[in-house]
Amino acid sequence: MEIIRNLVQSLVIIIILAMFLEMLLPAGEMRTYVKMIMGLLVIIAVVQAVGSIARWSFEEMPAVVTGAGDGRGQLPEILETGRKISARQQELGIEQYRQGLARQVTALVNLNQELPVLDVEVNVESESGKPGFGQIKEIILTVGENPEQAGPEPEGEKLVDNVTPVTVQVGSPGTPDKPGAVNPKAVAGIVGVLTNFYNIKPEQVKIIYN
Amino acid sequence: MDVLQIVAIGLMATVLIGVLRSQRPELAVLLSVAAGVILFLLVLGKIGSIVGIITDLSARAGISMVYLGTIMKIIGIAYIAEFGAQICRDAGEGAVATKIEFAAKILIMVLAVPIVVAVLQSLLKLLGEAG
Repeated sequence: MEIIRNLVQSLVIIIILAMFLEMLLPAGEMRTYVKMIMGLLVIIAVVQAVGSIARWSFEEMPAVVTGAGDGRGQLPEILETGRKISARQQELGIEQYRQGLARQVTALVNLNQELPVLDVEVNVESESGKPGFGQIKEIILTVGENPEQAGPEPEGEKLVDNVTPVTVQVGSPGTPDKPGAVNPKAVAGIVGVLTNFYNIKPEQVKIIYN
Repeated sequence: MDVLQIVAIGLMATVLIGVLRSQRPELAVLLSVAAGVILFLLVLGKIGSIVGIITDLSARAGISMVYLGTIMKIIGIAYIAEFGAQICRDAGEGAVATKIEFAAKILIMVLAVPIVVAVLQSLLKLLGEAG
């Protein structure tokens, strides 16, 4: 009922406007031409006003009835804006969740003093259409040099004599690029903690030796 | 009292043109043009208020300014062409007046092309939906 009331209101105003414009027309031969153009304008205004109720799309032409008076014709724009806002909020939510997970992983790996973790990056499934939306895809740990196994300290601060480190060679796939820099057992322990805590596969935890 | 001024100017111009036409026809044409310009300038300020009312009315109806601007241009072209053609006819140049009207018709049709295309697309859409 409200739609029909708005339609009748628009049509009445359009007809009054057409009559008002007709009073302005010149009296000579040009009058017939201008009247024809105004008649076309009234036709298209009426057709579009009726069409907006039936939800026809007139995107290919400038709208005669803009919907400024009663709010009609704005629904697609509102829906599109709503979709954009929703996607943006979802993106922000995923980013916040990813950062929270990264902080959690940092706290977990810092429990192990033997492995100095410089940076933690967590990748999650961000496409909402996929079944594993929000799940952890991989955790990338950037591991630095172990301070206990690092280079010699400055001469002035040396308290005890240097002890030659004992290196245990383990032929596992998780052997680091710099075997002497970090303890492989510590790495394996961290990977085990993360896989158990987040219920992910060991392949999803990547270690980058800096 | 504007209308009295306008009528007075019109009558004076008519009398003067009538007197001059027999003696100096070229001056009579110039006087006719001058009288037209003066009358137009007298009502120029009021045209602005009329356009304002039309714009307000179209905004209330939610009609796009694209089409309203086109209609305003068409009305302006029609008036200017009509004035020019009448002056030419008064000067005895009916052929030039006809050409001015022809040019104005072409310009009006050119401006009306977007409206005609919009009507065509609307009707095609309407027929498509009905079919």
